[in-house]
Amino acid sequence: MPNQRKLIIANSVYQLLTAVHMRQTILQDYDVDLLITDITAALKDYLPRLNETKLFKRVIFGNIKELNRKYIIEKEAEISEGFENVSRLLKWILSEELSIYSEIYFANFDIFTRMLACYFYRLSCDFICYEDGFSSYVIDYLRQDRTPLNLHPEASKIKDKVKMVLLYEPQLAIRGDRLPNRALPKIKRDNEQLKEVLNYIFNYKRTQRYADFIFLEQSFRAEGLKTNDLALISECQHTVGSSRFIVKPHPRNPENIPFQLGLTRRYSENIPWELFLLNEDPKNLTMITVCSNAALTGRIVFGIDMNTIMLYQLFEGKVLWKEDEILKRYLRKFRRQFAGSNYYVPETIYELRSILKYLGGHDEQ
Amino acid sequence: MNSKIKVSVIIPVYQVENYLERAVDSVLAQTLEEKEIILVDDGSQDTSPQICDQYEKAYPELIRVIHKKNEGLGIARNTGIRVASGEYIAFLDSDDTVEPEMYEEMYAKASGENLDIVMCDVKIIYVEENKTSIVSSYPKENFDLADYIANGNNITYSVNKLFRRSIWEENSYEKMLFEDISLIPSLVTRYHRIGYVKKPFYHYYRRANTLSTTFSGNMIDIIQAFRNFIDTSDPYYHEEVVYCTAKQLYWNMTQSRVLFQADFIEFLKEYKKDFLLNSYLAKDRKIHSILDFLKKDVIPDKIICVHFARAIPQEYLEKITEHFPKTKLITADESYYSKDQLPDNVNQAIDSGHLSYAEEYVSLKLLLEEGGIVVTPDSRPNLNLKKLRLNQIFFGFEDPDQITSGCYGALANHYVIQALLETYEKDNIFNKAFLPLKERIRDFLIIHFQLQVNGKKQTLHGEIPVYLPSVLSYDMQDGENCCKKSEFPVPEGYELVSDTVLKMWSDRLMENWNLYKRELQSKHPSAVKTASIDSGMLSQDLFQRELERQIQSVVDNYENSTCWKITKPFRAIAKIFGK
Repeated sequence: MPNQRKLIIANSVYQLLTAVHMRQTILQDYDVDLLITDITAALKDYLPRLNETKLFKRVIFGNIKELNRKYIIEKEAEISEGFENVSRLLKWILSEELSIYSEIYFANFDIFTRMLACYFYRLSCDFICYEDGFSSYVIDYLRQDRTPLNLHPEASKIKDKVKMVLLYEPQLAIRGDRLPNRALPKIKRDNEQLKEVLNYIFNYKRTQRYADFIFLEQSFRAEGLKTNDLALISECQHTVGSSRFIVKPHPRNPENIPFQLGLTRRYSENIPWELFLLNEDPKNLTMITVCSNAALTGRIVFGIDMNTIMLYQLFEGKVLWKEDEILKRYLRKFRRQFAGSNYYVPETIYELRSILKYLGGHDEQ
Repeated sequence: MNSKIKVSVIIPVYQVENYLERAVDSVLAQTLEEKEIILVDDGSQDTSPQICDQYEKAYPELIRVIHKKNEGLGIARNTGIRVASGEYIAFLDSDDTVEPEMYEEMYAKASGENLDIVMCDVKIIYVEENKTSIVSSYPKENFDLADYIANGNNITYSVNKLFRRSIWEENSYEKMLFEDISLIPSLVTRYHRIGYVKKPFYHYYRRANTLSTTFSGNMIDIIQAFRNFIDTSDPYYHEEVVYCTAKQLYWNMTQSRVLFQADFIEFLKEYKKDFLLNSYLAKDRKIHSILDFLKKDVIPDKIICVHFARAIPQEYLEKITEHFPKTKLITADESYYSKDQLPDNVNQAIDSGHLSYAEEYVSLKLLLEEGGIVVTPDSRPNLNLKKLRLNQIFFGFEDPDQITSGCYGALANHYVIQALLETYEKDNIFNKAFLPLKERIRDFLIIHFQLQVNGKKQTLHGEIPVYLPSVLSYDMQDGENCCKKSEFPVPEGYELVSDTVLKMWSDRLMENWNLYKRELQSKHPSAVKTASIDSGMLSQDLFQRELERQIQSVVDNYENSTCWKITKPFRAIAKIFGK
């Protein structure tokens, strides 16, 4: 019998959630190893419980953050040297040795994944990309001009290994590459078994709702971008009233500036957003964000038509999705084909106020 | 009074107690003895009727008085004509005078040459300016009628002419303003036996606040008067008549009645072929320029008032009658459109009691179909609104943050109105929350035309003017108001203005004032010193009064300065670049 063992790499909570879901659906008949990494620091905390569930044959931990950081800025010669030593590097950064796999599921085209592609290049091992938010729908990571890595003979070998992209909404994909898009089954919110497993892994305990209006902050400050997001937060808080409004800080931003400026109460919960959505009743809850993928998760992953206000039309700042025509097209397509009637994209600040008031916000003045 | 009467002088009388005696005396002083004077009191409320009666009592053989209800000048003249027995008839306006020899010389000319009409020159006395000028009717005493119609003066006046009485057996004045223009030039074309005494017998006193110097809604009659002139004149003189009309139009459109320019443009278009093919016009470069107006679209002369489950206020209708007597008023209530003619959300709005939302939709729909100006029942339009018909579309601020939906206008089928209407078919917050139209318009203009929400006048993409709150929402008594909100009753002489607009207005005045001061200081440093006051020398009250006096003095200087007015556009441009 040919080897049917699978490996799933998860770099974030969102990816881990999808990994567990894939394990229980499309990969339920296979032996599956899970590789969680330090790209998201909190993932390591979930490792004991992941093991306890025995969902995966093995749960491997990888310290790949430094590796990714190092080689992305190296010159071609150093990159080549790194790719020549993949076997040794893997031994250093992984908690356990990898097996032989027929398929490897991954979400990011980072150095580590590219090295794995080299490592398994001559073996019969397909690489399957799976959903990682809206970038999976719009970005052709392997296009030659996107990164010098795509011109590197070793780093670009992944192109030969990737066979498909799994997406929750494949019809929304507009990347422009030739990879086939296949459907990932949606996560059903009434799937109590999955919910139970996920809640156990993430040690989720039901909490009180923070507020009726949650603003999902993005990592603009972490990326050194000058934007008007604080003005937008302030506008929302002012319109709905501070008692019903809260900002969920982005973990990569070094400081919680909205909190320091009095634009929000403290958001102290540390549970994954997706788990919150999976467990909580989204009725009367409004998510506000400039363009965070997390705001789309509820729709894409769980199929929840919840109140969502996307502020990207009011956003001022130099960010990729404002300039990239493909991203703009994606947002338009998402809105037209998928968004539903509770999805709002205000085009003026006045329209934003009206929407907030319509959704139950009130002016405290 | 008997059949030997040569000239009947008809004087319509209306509210002229201060001038009437002067007018009548000038007729009594005529050297022509065989005359009669018919005073037609047109329902005056002052002492004019008594003055008339006293004259009749004093000159029973000469003067006859008729008291009647007020119907206007033309009908008063008709009334006088009906009782007149003279061989010829003359008209005198009750605030003007005539030279003593006028009727004797003109009658001599008329009877001697068996003429239908005899005319003279006119002396205009500018009362306030204390100046006079003589308007010669024609350069020569023997004149060519065609040339006179085309190039003469005073053709429209009734008062500088003597008419054979039989003319009035088949003609009469209409009940309208500009009854002279409507009838007299046409008579001149049809009664060819015309003579001319080249003397300025008639004295026309021109004052401020008379019909010829103030505006009212029924002045729109001038269009009908022009129409009558062209349509009833002898076709033989059609070329001259059209050219004569074009000259009158030129004057009215560019000088005296610019407010009615949109109406004149529609009239031009109505007789487009006549004006375009006119040989006189082709040679007259100045007058020919009116044909440029043919290229201009004007908003149709229609006012749209939608009133769901409420009556149109009487005061609203009175304003329409007063200022827009010939305008088509389109009213629509909830039964105007059937349910299947309205989008689902508008029907839902009606069912759920959001009537203003439905009213606003129907207003837009009617505006798209008909073109015109939407004036809601809560708004009160005034005559100035006519000016805005020269736009293809217009909106105005209600305050610094809001666009008014109380008054706005557009051509029929204007794409902006069409696009606004289409937003009612979409899934958006405006329809979900039944938001008011003013928010929809504002956001639409921001998104598509980069409207700056600041309450200031702007022209979006060079084609969509958005006016100050003082134009379409509040009357700030600066002469610019076209329509104002009237949601609450206010005492006579007061204006109800929102606090935000009042603040904005105050800031605007201060901004202008400071700009003026800066300019003044930069050009004439000493001039500013005159405005400084040694407050220590004056009591508080005196100080305040002196301050107000000096401020007023500088403001007057500022507002009246020609240089300031001329350089306004340059300052505005410099300010933009300065930013």
